[in-house]
Amino acid sequence: MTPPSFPAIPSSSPSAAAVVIQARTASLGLRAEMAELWRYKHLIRTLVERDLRVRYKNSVLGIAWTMVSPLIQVFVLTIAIGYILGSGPKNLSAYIFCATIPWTFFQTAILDSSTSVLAKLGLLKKVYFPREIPLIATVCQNFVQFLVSLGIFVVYRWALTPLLFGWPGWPPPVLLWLPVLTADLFLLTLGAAFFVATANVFYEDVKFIISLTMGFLFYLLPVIYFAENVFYSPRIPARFQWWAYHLYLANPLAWLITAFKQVFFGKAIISNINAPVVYSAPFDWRYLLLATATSLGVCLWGYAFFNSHKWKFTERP
Amino acid sequence: MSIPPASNAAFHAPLLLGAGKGPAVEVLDLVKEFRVYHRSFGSLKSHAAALAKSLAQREAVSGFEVRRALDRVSFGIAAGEAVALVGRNGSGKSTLLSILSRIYLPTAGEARLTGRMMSLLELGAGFDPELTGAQNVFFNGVILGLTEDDVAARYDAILDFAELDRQAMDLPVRMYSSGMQLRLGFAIAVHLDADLLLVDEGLAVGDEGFQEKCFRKMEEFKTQGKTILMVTHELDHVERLADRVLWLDKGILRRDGPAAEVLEEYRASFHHES
Repeated sequence: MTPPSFPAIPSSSPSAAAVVIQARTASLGLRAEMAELWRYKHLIRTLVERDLRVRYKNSVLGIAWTMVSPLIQVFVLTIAIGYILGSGPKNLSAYIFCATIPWTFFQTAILDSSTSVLAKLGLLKKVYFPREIPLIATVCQNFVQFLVSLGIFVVYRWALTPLLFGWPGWPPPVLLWLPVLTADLFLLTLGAAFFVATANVFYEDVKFIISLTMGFLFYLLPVIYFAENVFYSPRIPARFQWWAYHLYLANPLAWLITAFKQVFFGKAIISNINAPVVYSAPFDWRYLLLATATSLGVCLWGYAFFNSHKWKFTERP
Repeated sequence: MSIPPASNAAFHAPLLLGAGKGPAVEVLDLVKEFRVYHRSFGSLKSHAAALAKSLAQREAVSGFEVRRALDRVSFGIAAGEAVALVGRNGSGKSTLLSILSRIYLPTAGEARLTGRMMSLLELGAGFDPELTGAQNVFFNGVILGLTEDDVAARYDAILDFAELDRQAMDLPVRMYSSGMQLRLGFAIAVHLDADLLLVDEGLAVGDEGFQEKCFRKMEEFKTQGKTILMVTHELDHVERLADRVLWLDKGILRRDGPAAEVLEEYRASFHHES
C-alpha cells in the first residue's frame, strides 16, 4: 500500500461520516439540514464564482453589465415621469436609482432561481450534494451584483453628483441600519426563492407566472413613487388613508424599498415641484422589527417547504 | 434456483465473511417504488385536463401506477470487499446504486454506509463546457466534496493520471474530445481518497490503454483495502475484480454468493431463456 503523496482529506469534509439512508416523508429538521449545508459551503462559493465568471466571460464590459439595465431603467423612468408626465419631486432620478437597487436584486434573484434547481436536475441525478445549493448560489450571485450596484449608487450620489450639481448632503445616522436592511432583503428573497424554485420543479408554468407577477409587482412597490403617496392619495377616502398606508408598508418588500430611500436620503421633499411641500416619513424601527421578523419567517418557512419536497425532485417524471 | 427470501438472516450473514473490519455497506429490506405516469407531466394545464376528464367520466383517474424497482433487497458488504452487481436491463441495479449515492430516498427499508463514500454514476458529471480544464478540475472536485485546497494538493497527480498536458488545461473543456473529458473525470474520481467506491459502468473509459490503466487502479484500490461496489454488464471485468456477485432480477436479489458461482448461474440463465 503506497501512502498518498498529498495530505489526506480531513474527516470533517462531506461524505466522510457514516450515512444512514432511510425512507422518510419529512425533512430532517432545520438544524440537521443546515449542518449538512455548512459542510458544503465551499461548493456555494465555487458555484457563485463560476456563475459570475461564465455569465460575463465573453462580454467586453463584464460585470458592468450588472448596472446597464438598471441605469437605462432609471434614465427612461426619469424621462417618462419627471419630464413627460411632469410629476415627481426634485432629485427624482436619485430616488428611483436608490429604489431600483433592492428591487432589481429581488426581481432577478427570484427569476433566476425559479429555474436554478431544475437546470441542475441532471447533475443532481448523478452527484449528491444538498439540493438547495444551486438555489442559494443563484441568490448569492445576484447578491454580489446587488452589492456592486450599491457601490455604484454611492459613487453616483456622493462623487458624481457633487461634481456636477453640488453637494447633496450626508446621509442620516439611520444609515447604520443598512446592513440589517440588506440582511432582511437577502432572507426575504431567499425565502421566496425557495417556494418559487420548488414549485417550478414540478410545474414549469411557475416561471411564467413569476415573470408576469414581477411585471406588475414593480408598479405595486414604491420604486417610481413613495409609500407616502399612498397616504396622500386624493383617491383614497381620508378615513382609510392611515390604514392603507400602514397596510402597504406591512409588505416587507415595500417597506425595505422605502427604508433604502430613508437611510440614504433622510428627510426628503417628496411632493411635486411647485406643489405644497410634503416630506418623507422618518425611518421607523417598528417597521424594521416587523420586516426582520417577516423576512426571517418567510426564509425559514421557505426552507422547510423546500426540504419537504427536495427528495422528490429527482423522481420528477 | 429459488429466490431467497429477504430476511434479517440474509442481511447479517455476508458480514461474517468479511475481513473483520466491520461492514462498509449494510442494506436491509430496501424497497423502491416509482410512480410511472400515464400522461405528460409538468404543467398545470395537464392537471386541469386530467381533473376535468375524471369529473366527466365520474371515476377517479389516478394518472400513474406504482412500479416496484427494488423489492426488499438486503445484503451487506464488509470493508475491503469488491462486489459486483449484475442483472438484466431494468433489474434495478442503477436504482440501487442511486439510492446508495443519495440520489433517491428508498420507499422503505434502510441502508447504512460507513466511511468516505465516492459514487461514480457518471464521470465528469457537472463539467462546464465553457470553463477551462483546470477550472473544471477544481469545480468537479468541490462538487464531489473536496475543498479547493484538497484539489490543489492533488492537481498534479490528477493531470499525470489523466495523461493530459498542462497546456490543454487552459483550454475550455468544450474543445476536449469525449475521451479526454472522461479521462479527466476518472482521474478526479480516483483521487478522492474514498474508502467506499460505488461505480456504475465506470470502467469503460477512453481507449484500451487507458481502460487497462483504470482497471489496474481499481485493482490497486482493492489491494489497499477499499470497498468496491460496481455495476457492469462486462462480465470479464466482474471476474477479474469481484469477490462476490449480487444478481438482481426484476428488483429482487436473486443470488448473492462467490463470483464464479453466481456468474455461472447468471450466464446459464441466458441460455435457458433464449
